[in-house]
Amino acid sequence: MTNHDKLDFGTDEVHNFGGAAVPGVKWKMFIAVWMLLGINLVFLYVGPVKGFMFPEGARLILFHVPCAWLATLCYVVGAVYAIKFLTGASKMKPAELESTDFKVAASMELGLLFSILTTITGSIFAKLQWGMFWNWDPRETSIVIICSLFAAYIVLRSAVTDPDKRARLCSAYALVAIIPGLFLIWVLPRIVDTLHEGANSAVIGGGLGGGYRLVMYFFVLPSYIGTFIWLFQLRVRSAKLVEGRFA
Amino acid sequence: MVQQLTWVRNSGVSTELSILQQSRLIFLKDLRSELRSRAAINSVLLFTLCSLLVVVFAIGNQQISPQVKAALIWVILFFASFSGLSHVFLIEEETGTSLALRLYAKSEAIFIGKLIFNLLAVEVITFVVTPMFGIMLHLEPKNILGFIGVILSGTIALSVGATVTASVIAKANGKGALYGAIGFPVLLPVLMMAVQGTKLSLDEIGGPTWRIVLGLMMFAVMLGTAAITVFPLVWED
Repeated sequence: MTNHDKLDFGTDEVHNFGGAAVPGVKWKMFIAVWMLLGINLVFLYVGPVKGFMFPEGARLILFHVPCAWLATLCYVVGAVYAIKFLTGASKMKPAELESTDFKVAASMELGLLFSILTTITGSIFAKLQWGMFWNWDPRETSIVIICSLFAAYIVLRSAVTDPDKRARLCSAYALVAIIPGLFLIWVLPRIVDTLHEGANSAVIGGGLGGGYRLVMYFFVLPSYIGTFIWLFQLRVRSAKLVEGRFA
Repeated sequence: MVQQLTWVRNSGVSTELSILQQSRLIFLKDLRSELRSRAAINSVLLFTLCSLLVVVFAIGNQQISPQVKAALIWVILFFASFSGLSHVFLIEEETGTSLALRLYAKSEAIFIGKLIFNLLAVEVITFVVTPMFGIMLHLEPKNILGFIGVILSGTIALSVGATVTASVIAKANGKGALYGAIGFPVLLPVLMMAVQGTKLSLDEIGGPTWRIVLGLMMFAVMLGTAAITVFPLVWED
């Protein structure tokens, strides 16, 4: 393998779409166009929602909700790779094992990014809608805790120097930390909800028009997921170049 | 005890101790070595009493609401468990005995044994601290059984979470500061439920307190099961 091949980003992770000059560039351009379309539709097609304190601000939902979904997706992707790492430790080649570990780390880092974005957009929305940046709503607290789970993973990762040990410890932690995550999302609201009735229904907001669903599911969410895949591949490749022990 | 385990190792499958028997031996080993020096339990108790006194003196003679009392007692119990519960795994790394332990016992047994030791330690601390807190801050739970239930189940969940975190931390660098940072997200649901439950038991009789006790126990069981499954992968390197 020549040095040029090694630095060619298209060799390993990126799918080659139709033999473009730089592999993977076509679908990335498609994602860019799709995202631009989505953003334009959010401001031009989707209207303000009646019943909101600040009807124009309802558009923020179209950026906030996909971020929250992506943060969850990041955890799922990370956990799947963590399981793959821990169960396949004896079967996989060292290089494959290492790249699985990088994938867990990449999805956790992106998870932190998206959960912080979710918290920020959520706070702005809360200020517009309910008058305060922070309302102690169950969903607000759970996103902050998910944020801290991602952060804890990254902190743990930086605290172990031996790469093999680090990979194993961090994957194990990521899997154990799912339990409080699941508990917070599905169990805790059911226990606490009975004490604060209607706290959760306030989050959902009024009925959104059909345009919202169309733009959300057809434009914004797919382009977000595409961006996630792109960032994920980029992060894994750069980790391989910086820290990788196997060429 | 070591002879007993060695004998198990050398004498084939038919006489092998079950995981529970092994856990019992691990627990007894930890208990004996702790009673020999009493270093951990003394320092943790003193630390806990100090944090209790810090809280009590900071508040002084003021009247505070049940919500604040519930929050304060759990903050103290949280600090207590994060000050000492990593000891069971750290001591094996510090004295270099983790390899020997790994040879003698199954990793599940090691985890269960150390978990039982930590449960005992936390309950001892709780048994000393909670009445003191109650006397000094005029804690008068209306639902006394519910209060005891929440404190017990909360501390059980707390020590399961702290033990799980400790098992991961023992292998990392910069253990002290890391322990809190890594344990915090795992234990936050416990904190939220326990404070809520304690407040309820101080405020009213019956009602949703028991649901919170159930939730805390459920959390402890879920986390404990996950930890026992994952622990061998952390322990054996």
